[in-house]
Amino acid sequence: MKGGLRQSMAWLHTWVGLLLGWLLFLVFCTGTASYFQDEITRWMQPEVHGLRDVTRGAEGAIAYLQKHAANAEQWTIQLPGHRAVATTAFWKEKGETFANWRDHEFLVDGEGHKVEARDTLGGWRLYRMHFDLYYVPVLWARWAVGLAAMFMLVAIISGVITHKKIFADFFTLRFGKGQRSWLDGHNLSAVLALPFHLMITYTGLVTLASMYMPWGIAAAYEKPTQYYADAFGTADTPARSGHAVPLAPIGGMIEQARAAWHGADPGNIFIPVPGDANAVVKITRGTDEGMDTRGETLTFDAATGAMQARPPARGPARATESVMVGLHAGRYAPLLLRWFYFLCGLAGTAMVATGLVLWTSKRRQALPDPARPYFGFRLVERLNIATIAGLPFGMACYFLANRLLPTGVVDRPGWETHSLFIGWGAVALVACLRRPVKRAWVETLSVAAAGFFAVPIVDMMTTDRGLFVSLWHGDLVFASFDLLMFAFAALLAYGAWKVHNRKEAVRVRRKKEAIA
Amino acid sequence: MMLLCILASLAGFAALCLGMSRHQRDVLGKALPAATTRGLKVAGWALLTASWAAAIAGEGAALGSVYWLGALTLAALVVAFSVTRLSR
Repeated sequence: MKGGLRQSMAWLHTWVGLLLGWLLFLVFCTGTASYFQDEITRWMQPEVHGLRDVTRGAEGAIAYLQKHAANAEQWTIQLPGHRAVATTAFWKEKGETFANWRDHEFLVDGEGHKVEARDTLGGWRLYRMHFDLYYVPVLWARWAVGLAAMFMLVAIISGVITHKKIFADFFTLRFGKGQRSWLDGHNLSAVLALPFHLMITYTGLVTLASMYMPWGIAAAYEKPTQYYADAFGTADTPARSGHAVPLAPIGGMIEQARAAWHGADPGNIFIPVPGDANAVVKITRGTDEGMDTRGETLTFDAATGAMQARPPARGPARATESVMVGLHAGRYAPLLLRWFYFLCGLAGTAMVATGLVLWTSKRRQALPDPARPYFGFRLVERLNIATIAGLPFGMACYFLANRLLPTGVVDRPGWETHSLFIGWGAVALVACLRRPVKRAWVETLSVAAAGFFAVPIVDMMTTDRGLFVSLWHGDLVFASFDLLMFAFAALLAYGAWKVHNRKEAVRVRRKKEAIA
Repeated sequence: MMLLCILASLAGFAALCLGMSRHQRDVLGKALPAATTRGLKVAGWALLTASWAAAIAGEGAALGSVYWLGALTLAALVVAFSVTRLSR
């Protein structure tokens, strides 16, 4: 009976893992990169110099808004988190929807000056792709990613049950032994980062729980919007009175907010009907100020700068949800912990990749005719190459496009993203057409390695913030980014070289067999 | 404190690893006496506990525990790769 359970769990693990593995690879890749979302954005906006200063950023943004959008319906100012520099602000004219907001968006640097930076969505695009995907309706994408996460949870649990020697094999990694090595790699990347994998999958589901299971809300509320208003607070827009009243200094309101939050910085400022007597200033705590991400919003009287009554403290359910989202996104994490998160994310990516390769590696020996595998086998084999080599190359293309696309291009952020998929598609094509499979692996991995290698080189040629300059000035964000690109290039090149050599080994063995 | 946490978890996993007969064979080429093996196991678990204590002392119970799990993953990966390297 025990063997029966283990066998059925192995079956479940294999097929659930295969079916959603490619999607999970994308989710893990983009998610891992998102731990450095702010740093990626900084790298992708090399025009933004200087240090972070929340108050100056807010003052600079408001000065610009008062000059250019005095009669707007609302102003929104997104202040830089601890690892960012630029303040992003935009306004909404009467009757406009938020789809138009990018037309009135501008950046302010740490000095409070507006900067003309290349138009990009930076790390934010990768972060959204992590759960919204791209080219598909957001709702479908979230359902697909949620399904993948649910089955990931199934795969983790069935994987632990299937794993016969979880403790005996704890530190075991044997190279050069074919299927055995892939299994070792899969086990190692799964078991050693198991706390992370469990946490990340479970909390990932919690982030979108009310979308996946809306019945609780439906039972208690007539309209779902009323639930969200109760749970997260509303952003009612007051009506304009028609009396113009100047805005009190924002610096004083930020100071009051800081004092109320024991020194934590604000992350967002929202001002409806600016310049009117009815205007208020809503300041929300930064998402990276603590483990709970959904920070409190304080409301100030715009004319006097006085704080209105604080909202009631959150209930335990909301606090729990808030901490779970925080644990998942790691926004609170200081630098060392952030690298731990990144490392665990890489382990997760490796776990998915090795699992996918393992599926083919395990079945190759059992093929009736190894020269002509059946269709399903070939499909999995090719999709594996297309995903595991293709997506990293696509991400390299995304960074390259940021440096190479002219600044005047219409919908520049869109074309940066298209570049990702064009690069990925090109590699996928090579992966499907090249024969034999080993050649396809070597070529695609080499192309991906070349892509990452090119990123710091192109950066050096097109900006004044190349690797040597960054190292000279001690600019660790830019230097680390460039060095990581080299590290990924080396890793992918090593993979290509390994596969290339293995081809030789097989050939030699065949020759020996022929001689014998 | 975090450096101490990382070092303690590295030492702890190294001791636990050497307390396993397979890795004794691979790394040392011989089996260690039973008493030494048991000693290594006890020391390994003690060091892992100490690394948790260090993380909590440095960062508090909640944040410290998250740090600790990260440090454990890092340390276990380093030990696993070292063992692979050393046994060749």
